[in-house]
Amino acid sequence: MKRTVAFTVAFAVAAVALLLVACSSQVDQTQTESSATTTQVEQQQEQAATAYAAGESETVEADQSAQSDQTQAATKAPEQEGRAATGYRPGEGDPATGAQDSAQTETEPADSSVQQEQPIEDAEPEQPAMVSRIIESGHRAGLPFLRNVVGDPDAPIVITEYSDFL
Amino acid sequence: MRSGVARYEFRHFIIFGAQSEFAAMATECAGDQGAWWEFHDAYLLEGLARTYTRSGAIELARDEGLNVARFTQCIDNEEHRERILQMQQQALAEGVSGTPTFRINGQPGARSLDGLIDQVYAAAEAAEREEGG
Repeated sequence: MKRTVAFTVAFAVAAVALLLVACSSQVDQTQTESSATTTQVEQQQEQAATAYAAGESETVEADQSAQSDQTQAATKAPEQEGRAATGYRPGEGDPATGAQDSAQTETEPADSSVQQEQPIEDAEPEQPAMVSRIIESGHRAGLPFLRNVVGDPDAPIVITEYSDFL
Repeated sequence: MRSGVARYEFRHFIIFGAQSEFAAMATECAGDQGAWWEFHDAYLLEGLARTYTRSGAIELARDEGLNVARFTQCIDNEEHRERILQMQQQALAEGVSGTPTFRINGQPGARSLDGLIDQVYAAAEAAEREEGG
């Protein structure tokens, strides 16, 4: 009877030991898996970090590209203004221009300013017209003249012009 | 403004050298035959550049019906050169340094036509006040 009990106890202990070993093995495997998972996570994080860094780089490149575009746009803008200043109108024959609307917008105020200045230009031609009338009708019509003097030689007011024919 | 209040005098002030001086002399020679203002207009108003040469001036004299031989003799002998140089010296003495320069009774004229007209009217009013007073 004692031998049976002892055997049973020994068997139970062995079983428990086996269980413990088995559990221990599973824990190791879990730890290994956990470790592997950790490594994987770290690798993913590193990859993500690398990807983020690459993304930053791409972002920088994108910014640089954007800046480059802006620079190109800024370079084009004066050309367009220059063309507008010389009477060129984007959209009237230059398909290479990408900002026709903005260029036209830039051109329109210039046109409107020209229109605002129009009355001044209208006012100025009077003087040449007056000169033409003088030449046609004669600026000495009805006035006495002698050589370089026009008008009454005894007049109290003397208007003198010093000039060169060239 | 009543008539007879003002007179206008053109005086040569040479700043462009020999061509200018020739044009002034040719005009004075034309003035000897009553065509001073015709040459003035041709040179200054109509801008007939051909007249700056001897042959061009003679051609213009012919067009204006002048005695060409007399005109040619006048310009070749530079008969009015002294008169023109005297005008130049007088202008320099009065402080003239460029063209065109205007004087109203010896006082500096305005730089604009409107300003000159205002000055003439002001001088005419002053002259009338003096006559009235």
